[in-house]
Amino acid sequence: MLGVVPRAVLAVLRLCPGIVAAALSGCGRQPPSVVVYTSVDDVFARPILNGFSRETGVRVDAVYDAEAVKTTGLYYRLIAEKSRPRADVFWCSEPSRMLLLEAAGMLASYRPPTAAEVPAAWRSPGGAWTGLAARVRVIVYHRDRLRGSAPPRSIADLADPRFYGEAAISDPLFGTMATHAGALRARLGPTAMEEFFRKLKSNAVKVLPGNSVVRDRVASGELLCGLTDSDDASVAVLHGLPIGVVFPDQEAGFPGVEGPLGAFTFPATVGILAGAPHPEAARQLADALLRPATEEALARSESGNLPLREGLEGPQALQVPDPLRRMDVPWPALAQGVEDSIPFLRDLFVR
Amino acid sequence: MGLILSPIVYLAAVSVVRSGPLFSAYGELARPEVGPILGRTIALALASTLLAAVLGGVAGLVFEARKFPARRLLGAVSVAPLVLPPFLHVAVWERLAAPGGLLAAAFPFAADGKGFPIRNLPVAAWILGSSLSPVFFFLARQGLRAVPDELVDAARLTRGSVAVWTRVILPLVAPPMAAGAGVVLTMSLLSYEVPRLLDVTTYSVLVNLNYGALDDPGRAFAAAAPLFAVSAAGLIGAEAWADRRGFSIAGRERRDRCDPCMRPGVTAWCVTGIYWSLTIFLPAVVLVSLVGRPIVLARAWLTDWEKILSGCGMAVAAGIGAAIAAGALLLPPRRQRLLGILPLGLPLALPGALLGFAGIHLAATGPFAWWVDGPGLLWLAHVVRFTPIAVFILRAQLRAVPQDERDAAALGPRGTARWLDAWIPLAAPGLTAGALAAALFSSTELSATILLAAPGAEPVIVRMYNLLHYGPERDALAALCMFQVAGAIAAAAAIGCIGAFLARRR
Repeated sequence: MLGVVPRAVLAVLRLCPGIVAAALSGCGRQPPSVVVYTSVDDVFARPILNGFSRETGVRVDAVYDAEAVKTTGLYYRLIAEKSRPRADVFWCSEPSRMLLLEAAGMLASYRPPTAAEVPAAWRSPGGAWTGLAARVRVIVYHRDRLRGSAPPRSIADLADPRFYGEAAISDPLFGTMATHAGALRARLGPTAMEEFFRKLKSNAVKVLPGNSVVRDRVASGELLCGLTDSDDASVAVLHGLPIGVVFPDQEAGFPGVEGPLGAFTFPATVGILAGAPHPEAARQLADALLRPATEEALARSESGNLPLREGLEGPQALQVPDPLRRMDVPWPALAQGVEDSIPFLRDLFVR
Repeated sequence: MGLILSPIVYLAAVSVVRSGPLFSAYGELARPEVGPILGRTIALALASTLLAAVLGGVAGLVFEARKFPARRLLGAVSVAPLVLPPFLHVAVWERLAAPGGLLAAAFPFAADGKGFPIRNLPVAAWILGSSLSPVFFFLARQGLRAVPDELVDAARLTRGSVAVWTRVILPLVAPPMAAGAGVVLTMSLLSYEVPRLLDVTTYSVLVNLNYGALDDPGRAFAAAAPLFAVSAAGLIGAEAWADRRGFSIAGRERRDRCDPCMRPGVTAWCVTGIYWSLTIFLPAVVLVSLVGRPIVLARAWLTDWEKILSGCGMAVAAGIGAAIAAGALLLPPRRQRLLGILPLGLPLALPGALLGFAGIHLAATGPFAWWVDGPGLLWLAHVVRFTPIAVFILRAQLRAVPQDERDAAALGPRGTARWLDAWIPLAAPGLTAGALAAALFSSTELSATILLAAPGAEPVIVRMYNLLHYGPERDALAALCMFQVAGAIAAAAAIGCIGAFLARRR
């Protein structure tokens, strides 16, 4: 009785992968209430997103970034999904990729109720994104190995022969190091920026897959010093690792720059994707992320971010100079700087 | 076949279309660093394959030839390290090499106060080789089991035991070892995380950086072309050679090769002990010491149970999917031209990031758009990537099915009943082994998984990789790693149960 339809059986067998896949996508979880792509570290972003879920009952499905392709991976994923966005909100750990998305017309204009509290310099004039909870590019050094000699005071010191083969940066094609490179290009011009990185290269600087890796290698004593983010340094200090932290370029000394260059300071940014599948929930989440409580929570956390709003308490672990001299970079120039830096940096370091 | 090859066709087409008439995307290949990096990558892959063959192959042969206590349990445990992703082996060796660690203490002259130097090509080869050696352990056992007793006995009558091994047993074990070498070589060539974490710039690292930095699939595929070609040549060449030599597994081999054999001596214990120490004992000790207290396990479970179950479910689904695809391609058993099967190996030779990239683009713009929001897309990518392994294993097993059983099956009932009562039970060992292999590899796949995992439903391995970069949470990473191992074992057990059910009808 069963032996009359062998071809049909074969056909069904051949279709099985499709059937199983259909079952997996159809019978899996319900469509997410709000989807957020975030390059903020999983350990810091997760409690805040979970808190939002508990508070509102809105389920948050988060896609976190991998450290080695920080921010860039999510950015290109957003571009690849442009014709059919999966993400509602992009919570970016730095501004440059958000600026590029804004330039590509991929962000919806939305001004959260609390946005006015954020100084105008830290948000998009068109309302495409709003900044929060800044971080600073800092130098970390191994306290014990560098005992008795002066730590680097400027990022230019990483090219000092004292640190030959003993200094590190994270991959300048990704994450905040890419943004830092773009900022240097915007601030100093292409020639000076390229000269700076050539000097680093000729001083055998180690290019590592992530800022946390820079911190860990310095903390372990494998390397003497490195350029990383203040949140990575903050975590190390709070966990008693033997590192010292320098907010660089607070005094004059960077070659070719009159006066202090300043430390590169940048906010995290929040934007809503144009064509977001769940716009209402996206606005709810953006509102929650951009309220003062989030900045306070990030400042109190091991991340130790610097609040952008006046009057909020700063981080405890790091001795932030008062006042902190910041490197002055206009946002549009920063985005362009990042784009323009990639070919040069790729040629210099990807070998 | 079309579905399995679709990512490669897509990427190749994009690389040509975006290149224009002068194939400018392929101009990447003229960069001066390409040759040295490719050479370094091939050297790393060959060294790690050789190390894996020596470590796992010798241990597997010794283990199969001697009567070890708790043999079945030990045999299963010996291949379990495959479920540990290689990048976790790096974390283990980093801990051993850190100042005050075992290596630094044992070799103080090399440590120089900064820890034992592990960020170099030989250590990368060592870590890749030891983490992939269970492939050889498994295949060496399978190969030895398939050697006919009568042949060995006849050889023993005229030759000494050394000659029996060198002239009879090893040549017959060579085909499965070659098949394993093809897989290990490909995995080593494509490994991105291990060389990257150890500061060794390989071609795979170069491809991933190009992909990540440029958002240009055409150029990335063009840049990956030499790696893809070398991987595919190594994989397909090894599989073709093994196939021609009549490599067969899980067929009518003896269930227990060592009935008449001896108990293990000191040498046998030493050989297997070295293997177990490097692949099981050291990682286990480091992981347990990192976890520290049971509360860490409980916390990890409460935080990430969805991801743990997601990873386990994805491994089972990918294994079953790959086995079904292999069955659809190879059943009912018939003569098939090798050339028609070998191209199926190509997706395995494709860098994972490129597979993920093709998946995103095909899903966002093509006929698979309705799968995008669920886990179906990731499942499909894993099936595409690991079906070649299931196909090769099923093909090897079908070769071992006696002709009289095939003839009997062909004479039996027709249609569905023939499938249920004849073909599937006959192929059950191969389908099960193929599904198991696909599930194990799927559970540790990272590059494509990072890109294709559905929001909020990523398998636990993605979370583990992120935690790897957050030093203070190493205890959570170790706890998740234990759950990853448990999940993979549960997945293997589930597939084994299904396979046993199917085989019972034989």
